[in-house]
Parts: sequence; structure tokens; C-alpha cells
Amino acid sequence: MPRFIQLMLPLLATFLGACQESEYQRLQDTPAEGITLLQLNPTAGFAMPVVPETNPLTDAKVELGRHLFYDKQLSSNQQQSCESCHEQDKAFSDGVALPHGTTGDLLARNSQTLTNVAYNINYTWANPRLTTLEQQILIPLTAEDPIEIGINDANLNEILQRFRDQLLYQDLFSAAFPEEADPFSLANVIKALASFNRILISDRSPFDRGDLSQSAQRGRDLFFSEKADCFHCHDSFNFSQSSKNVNSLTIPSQRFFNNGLYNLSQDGDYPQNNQGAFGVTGNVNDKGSFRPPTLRNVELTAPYMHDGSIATLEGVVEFYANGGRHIQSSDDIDNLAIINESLGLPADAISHLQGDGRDNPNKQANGFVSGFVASEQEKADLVAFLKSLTDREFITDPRFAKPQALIERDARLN
Amino acid sequence: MKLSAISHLSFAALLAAGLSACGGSSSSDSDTEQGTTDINLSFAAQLNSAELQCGLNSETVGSAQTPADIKYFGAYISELEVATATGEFQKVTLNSAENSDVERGISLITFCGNQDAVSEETKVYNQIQGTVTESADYTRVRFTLGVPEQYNHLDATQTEGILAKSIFMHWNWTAGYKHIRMDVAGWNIHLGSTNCSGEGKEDPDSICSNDNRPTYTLDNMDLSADKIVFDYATLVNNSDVSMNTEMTPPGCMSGGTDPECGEIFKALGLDLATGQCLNNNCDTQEWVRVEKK
Repeated sequence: MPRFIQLMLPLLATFLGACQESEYQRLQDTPAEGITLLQLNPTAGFAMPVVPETNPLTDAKVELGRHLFYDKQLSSNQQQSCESCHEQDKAFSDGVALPHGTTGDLLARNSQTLTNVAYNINYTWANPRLTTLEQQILIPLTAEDPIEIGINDANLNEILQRFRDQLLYQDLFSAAFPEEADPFSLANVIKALASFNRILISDRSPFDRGDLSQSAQRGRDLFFSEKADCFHCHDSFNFSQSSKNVNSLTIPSQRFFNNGLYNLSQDGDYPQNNQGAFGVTGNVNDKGSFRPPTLRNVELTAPYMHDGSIATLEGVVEFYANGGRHIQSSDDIDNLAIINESLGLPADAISHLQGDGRDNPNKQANGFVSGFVASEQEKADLVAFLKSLTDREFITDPRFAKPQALIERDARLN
Repeated sequence: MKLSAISHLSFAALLAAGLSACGGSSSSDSDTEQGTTDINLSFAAQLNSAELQCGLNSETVGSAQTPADIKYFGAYISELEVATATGEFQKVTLNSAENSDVERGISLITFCGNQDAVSEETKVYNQIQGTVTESADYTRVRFTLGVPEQYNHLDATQTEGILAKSIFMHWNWTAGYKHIRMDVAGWNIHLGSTNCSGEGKEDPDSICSNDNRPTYTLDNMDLSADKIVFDYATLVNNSDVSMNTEMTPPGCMSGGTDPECGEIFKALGLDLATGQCLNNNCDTQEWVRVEKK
């Protein structure tokens, strides 16, 4: 029996066990040829995500990707793995406003959830150019300013050699790329990580089971009403305008929105290191335009917004009810110290952030986030609805967890 | 058959013998190769007249005359052409080489790799070799700095050769490449296409409207005795490389609103606002020039 199959057995056993105990029927037939690790919940009725022809999805690639995702040996100094900023119990986010990379650099944007990332039309917070996971993954792997995982020309061969030298990875790489004499390459690392990311599908929340409390039902109705108007940016199966699947014939023309978080000038400026899609397009109308993330598992992914500047879900609902954020003092913004640190400014500086986001011209141009009057009960109902999108099976699913082989190897190494 | 399949040795021998190129190894279509000229270009990196050193240079640069600690220097060269003093420009077909993509007509020139580690990229690539299908005395060279738009946004997991060779030359946020990269401690110059909209190569509306790909023409060059010099000191001559505007990238990363890019783009011969050559002519530039080897 090949070593790869041996590695898989415990996983499959756990997995089959999980299936039998599940309270509803999972897909029995494989949703795509040759792949069993990507599973869809028939009750939720998701269509398959789009998989690029250049990187067909296979169980073997997913398994290699899962190992690489959890392995600190992928980073330049072996201090961080992808998991360091994307933890399963937080729906693959990290719980901090802004994360640090493996060499200690502070990033400018909040670590996003990897929930349903296979369905994204665009990747990262505000980049119309990035349309595949393969493109996006190059960024955390090879970014230099700030450094995240820290792979570069000088250390790439050394990093690949770490994997070449291990029997575990010899088996995983040759199973994933059986046609290749030397499968240890950056391109294959990217393909495997993208494949693992594609199976991170969350469609088993109380909302998907039709299991909503009275309060959550009222919140749902408010969420989809013209009054609160949440659904214009957070719509469809994935609660994000930036989503597509194999059945999508077109994609929405507007996928980036200014929600009035800042307004630092007549042009609707945001802080200089976070000008949204403007940073890529150079179009002033794109200042402060960001991609609406999925709201699935949003309860687990605090703090919120691209810079982590709103600490709680209640705060987010309040922010949208106000139709934007008017920053006058440090009381009006959460996690100020770390945001200032990312801008290279003193912890309590505030004048550079002051302004009334409710009047941001790019928000006005959208015609969304105009605010709404809601009672405390209605706000609580909205929060209850958002919490009904929390998928407890997703965050405990062994298909997505740190592989046993790595847990054992790391225990030996430490 | 491909020209590159014929060794230089046989070419040299044939040319020396004054024969038309129809050597024994040629196939029947060899008569189209009549009068082929080998083009061998040498490149060098300098600070004024001093050879560029990887690491700290004794030569001071910029308006504040500060020392330059050089970490990396790389450039893509494409659309290489040559002409006689009075003739039309002819396309140079690249020879197969470690730093050339024959099919796409792109070469990578590098002078410094990462100074802290031995790697593939510490190699110096300072030669481009190719052929022109007509025999003549070529004295003019024209080329573009950068990866052509049609190849600038390829799927990074599918590329091979020089577009896959260097992580340092990827420009991930535009899903593209850096046309030029000069890393100098605390003050980098990264030139690449900006103001991008659309969805990358799959999208017909995809475009980076500011090309930032300067085309340079060099005249009166003796191709065998001269070299093409990239002079970093001239490029930064009107920039104070000892300081950087707060909350902007260190140096100039092609940002249209980055104060550090104003003088750099002028020195490149580019209009920062449009990304095209200043007055349709990048040859106002002085940082790339011809010198005796």
C-alpha cells in the first residue's frame, strides 16, 4: 500500500465516522471527478466553485496543501505557517486587528477569513486584478514589504529542500504531481495551497438548516429589507457581492464599495496605506472602496473592517445604522494604537484620521450605507441573524484540521 | 529549423569562410538564413564612471550626495531591435539562454542578487545574444524596458523560464512583473505598469493604463566594442535618496501620487501622470548610454 494512502486512512476513517454521525445527509456522490474532499451540503444547495483548468482539484493536491498550510517550515525563519493568521477555530482568521508576519513586520490589513474563499470573484481586501487563489497566494508567500511568509529568490531552494528531505513530503508531492520528476517547486506549492483553500466550504450553519431563533428571523427580514439595505453588498448564497460559482453567467459590475469608514479630505481619502481599490486602479472614485467579505462565520472573525477598526458585531451594526463613521476623538475608533503603528505614528495620534465618513463622496456615489433608524431590539435581531451564519461543523471538520502526521512530527522536533 | 540550433562555432566558421549559411546541419529551408548577423550585446551597471558594487559603494549619489548601499538590480528587456545608421529597425531574434525567453522576446538583466545568500539570482546576467536575418553593419539599438503587456499578467503557476526565474521581479499586487527593480537601502525604485483595471489576462477590458515601459534608442554604437550602461547615479541625480515622504513606500514604487517618483520618472524619460514617454520620446533620458567596454 502506498504511503500516501496509509497517511490518508486515519483521516478517511474519522471523516466517514463524522458523516455517519452528521444530523443530515451529506453528498454521497463526488461533486467533481476525482475529488472526495470537497463536500457540499445538499440542504444549502451550493453549486461547485470555479476551478481553474490549469489546476484541477484532486484529493492528493488538497492533502499536500493542507500539510503545507499548517507547516512552519514553509516560512523563511520557520516561525509562522499560514495557520498563524488563519486559525480553524476562528473560521481561518486570527482575532487581531492587524497581524504580524513571520519576521515581525506589521501588516496594514486585517487577516481575512478563508471561509468559502473558493467562491471569491476577487482576492484580498481591495484588488480588482486578483481573480484566482493562485494569484493571491503569491502575496502572503513572497511579499516583501511587509514580509509575511518570507519566501524570496535567496531562500526558495533552501525552503523547498526542507520538504524534499522529508519522507512525508516526498510521498505527498509525488502523489499530488505524479507526472513530474521533480515536483518540488514554488508553482506546485501554490497549486497545492490553492487546492486546500478551495475545499474550505462552509454551508452547514443554523441558517442553512433553517434553524433560526425568533430574533434571528426578525434580523434576517431586516437584513434583506430596503430599510437596513445590508443585502446590496452582502447578497446571494455567500453573503457577498464578490462571489461566483460554476453557474454564474455574469459577475456584478460593482464589487468594491466605500462604506464611509473614513473621510479625510474633499476626495474622500482613507489613511494613506489603505486607500482601497484606488491603490490599484488609480481612479479617485475608488478611494476607500473595499471588497465586501462573506458574512458566513462573521461571529468568529472579529475585529472587523479592513483595518480591524471596529471591535464587535454590535459595533458594526451601530456603524451601518449611523450610515458611516464620524471620527472626532479616539473614542470613535477601535484598536487605534495598532492602526497608528502601521502608519508609523504615535499610539494616540488622531488628527490624521478625523473626518465624517458619513459624507464621504465615494460612499454617496454608491447610494448605499445611507443609515437607518433601528431600535435596540432590531439591532440585537440583526446580530442574532449574523450569528446564525456561524458554522460549528466547519470549524471542527477534520478535513480542514492540522494533519496528524505534522502534529506528531512537530512534537518530535520540539 | 530554429537558428538557435546551430552552434555559434559553425556560424563563425561559415561566416569566416564567406559562405552563405547552408551548413551540413541545416535543413532545406536554410537559404532563408542567408546573411544572418549575430547580435551580442553587453550590459553594465555603473555609478557615474565607477562600476556598480553590490553592497556599499564609495561613490555618493543623489542631490544630497549620500552613499548607495545596493541590494538588488534587475531589469527586463523586450522588443530588442537594431538598425544601420540609415536603415529601418530589424527585430532581434533571441538565442536560447538562461536569461532569455526566446518565444516571448524578453531577457532578464541582473547585476546584484540578494547579498545575504548564495542563490540562483546572485548570478550576473549582463549579456543578450540573438540574430538578425539580414547581414549589415548595425550601429543603432532600440529596446523597451519591461515585460510586454500581453505577457505581464500570466498565471504564475504556468510560467517557465525567466518569468518564473525571479520572485524578486514579480509584482504581485498588479498580478504582473516589475520592469525594473533597484533596491538600495531604504530607497527603492520599482518600475511597473500601474492604474490597472479589469480582470487580468482573461478580461478583454483588462488594462494597466500607465504602461511605464520606456523605449530607448542608442545611436553610434559599435556593438562588438561598446557596452550599454545603466547608470544609477544619473537616474537619481535630482532625487534626495536620503529621505522619503512619510506614509509612502520607501523610494519610488511607481505610485502616481508619490512625491519621490517625480524626478525619477523624468530621469527615466517617462510622464508620471500617463506612464508614456515624455513628449512621445523617452530619449530625453541620460541614465542609459553607450560606452567603450
